[in-house]
Amino acid sequence: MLSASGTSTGTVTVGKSGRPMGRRRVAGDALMGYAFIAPAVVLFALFQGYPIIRGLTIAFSDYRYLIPDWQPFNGVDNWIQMSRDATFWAALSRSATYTALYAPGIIVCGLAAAGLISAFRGPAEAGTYRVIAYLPVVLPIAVALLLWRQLLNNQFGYVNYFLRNVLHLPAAPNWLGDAAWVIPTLVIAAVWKQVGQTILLFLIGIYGINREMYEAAAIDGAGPWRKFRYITLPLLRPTFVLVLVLSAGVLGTVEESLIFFPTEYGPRNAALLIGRYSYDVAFRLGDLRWGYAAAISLTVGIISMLLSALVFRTLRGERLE
Amino acid sequence: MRDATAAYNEQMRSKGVQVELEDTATGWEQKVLAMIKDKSLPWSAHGYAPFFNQYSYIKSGLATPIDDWVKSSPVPWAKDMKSAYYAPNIDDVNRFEGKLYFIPMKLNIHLLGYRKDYLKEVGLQAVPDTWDEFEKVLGDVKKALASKDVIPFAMRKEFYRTLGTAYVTRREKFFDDKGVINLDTPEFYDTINMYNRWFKNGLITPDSFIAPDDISAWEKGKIFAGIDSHSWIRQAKKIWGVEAAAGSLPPQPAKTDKPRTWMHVDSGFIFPGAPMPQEGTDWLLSILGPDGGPAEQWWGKVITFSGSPVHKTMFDKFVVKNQDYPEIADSYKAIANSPILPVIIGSSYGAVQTKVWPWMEQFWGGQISDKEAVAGAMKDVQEEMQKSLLRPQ
Repeated sequence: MLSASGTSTGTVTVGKSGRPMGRRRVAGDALMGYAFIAPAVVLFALFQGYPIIRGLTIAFSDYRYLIPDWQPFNGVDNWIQMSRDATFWAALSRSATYTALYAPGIIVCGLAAAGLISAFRGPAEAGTYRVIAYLPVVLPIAVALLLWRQLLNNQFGYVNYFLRNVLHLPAAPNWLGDAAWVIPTLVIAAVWKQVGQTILLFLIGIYGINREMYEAAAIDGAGPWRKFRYITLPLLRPTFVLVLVLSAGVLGTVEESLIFFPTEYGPRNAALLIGRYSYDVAFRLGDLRWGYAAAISLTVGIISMLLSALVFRTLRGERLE
Repeated sequence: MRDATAAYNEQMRSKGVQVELEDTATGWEQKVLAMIKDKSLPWSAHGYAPFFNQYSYIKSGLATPIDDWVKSSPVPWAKDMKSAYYAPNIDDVNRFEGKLYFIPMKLNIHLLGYRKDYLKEVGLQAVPDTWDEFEKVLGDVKKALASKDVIPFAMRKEFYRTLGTAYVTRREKFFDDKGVINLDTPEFYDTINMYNRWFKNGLITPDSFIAPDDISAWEKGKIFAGIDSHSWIRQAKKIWGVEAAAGSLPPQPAKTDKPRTWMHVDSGFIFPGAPMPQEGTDWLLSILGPDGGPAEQWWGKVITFSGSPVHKTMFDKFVVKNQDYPEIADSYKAIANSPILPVIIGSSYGAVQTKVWPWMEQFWGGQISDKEAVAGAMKDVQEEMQKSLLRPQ
């Protein structure tokens, strides 16, 4: 029997059958609960669980799609091959560079924009800027990146036209034609596309900070930087954790490379990131080696999980009881 | 292909045979392979196998030999296919390991496409015949059009167009029996060193490295010339007019009456386990044949989207008198001298396309020597091919 507060009071009522009615009700409640979650569990099992298990079995096989009925189990051969694959290591290194640029980029831009938006007290103003900030996130990624590809064209793009003809810079970067600029360019486009999400996350955190703390700090003579450094930043720690964990997932990104360089890998393969390599191994190169590609993707996934665990361990701090 | 099939259906109505054409979806190869395995294939034939995919189509079981169906076909041309082709070597490339797999649907001839109006500014009406003379013209164009930011020469960022075609003009047989391209030859060194010189002299720049899917610099008039498929010329004529753009066979190492260029054939084929393979073969033979209403519908339009007819009759009918694209008729004189790429080249196509260019970029960028570039490219191509179980053994 449930009390008004919703907690069990421990009373047992015996029904007609002689069995305790409380246990039957609990069992009935449990069945009802399972019934409610069943559709979600079934959908998860079908569209997430089965693919995960299937992906794992493929990763430990030499599954080659172009060869009919060829899926022999090959143990750890894929990983042995990976250890000797210079292209894999080069692509992973580029992806690590990409992630190392993306994470601070999205945090700095997201936090800066969130700080500016949070300064608006009026809900209409703040709401307008929140919508504007989030618009790139809802834009289809192919549209967004093709737009950037046009903007960054070395000869005809608006960005270099502006740099050369308005700012009169002696030389504008060849964003997609110079190997040194390719990864930063992919990062810029990706950060622009996703920063809206980070802005909202930081805004949620900032809005959740008690204003009285800032007032108390002001009374103590703290200026804007000290308030930011000693109040805002520490209290946004959970948001930093979340943003960094999400950033770890970009290690395996493929869209930027695929859309900017759909049929090649850029100057000196500068855009051959690990996600793109896995994609091409599976769907474009040679025998379409799904086994090897799955092993690469599994490896990248494990690395991302380890990075996330490192973030949790380092930044999570003590739980507040 | 729709118009050709409509004409075929009209012709076959009294015989109770009708062909329904469906558009090819992205990623169809995997779906069809699965259907072949399940014996649930609804289609009999496919009208378009790019030459570089033909090897993997055969090896993966997507294309089946059609000798028997050709032999029993009522289509008159099927009795003696070879004699109808413009040149006998066109027949050779439809076969693999002695069996006939493909019926050609277009011949692709790589050409030099250039801006005639830019050429006139240096006092010429036509491009010269040899690479040395052409290089001089590029230098003159660079000087004359510097104010318009026109880059003299474009280079496709892959092997098979600009780089490969220039190589073919110097060396006829550039691949081995397993279809692996041999780059360690004097002719290839001549080719890459020629381009290296052009790069150093500003006749090619990184801005004229053209991605396979982006010819905007050419379309915007910032390039004088490039070596490519005919679509390069056709697109320029569409934008700038037939008087402003022109095409010709690529320059040759020396003046010759036996010029060479890159050629390959795209084709139609039959699926294994197809529900109606004989009817599918008859359809392909009819719409891709040397005569008849359906074939005229096809060949009459093929030069407007990419490629040329393979039959003498269709050459006479649609190419010789074509005022818009006279360069296509002129290019046929190279057919007898040129290696039309055989099916087996497809075994190394993917590896060559992805592995050669980055090494050439490093060489032209001054980071490595030509020997290092060639050695590195060949090693990478071989390593990539070793990963494939479908490679020629």
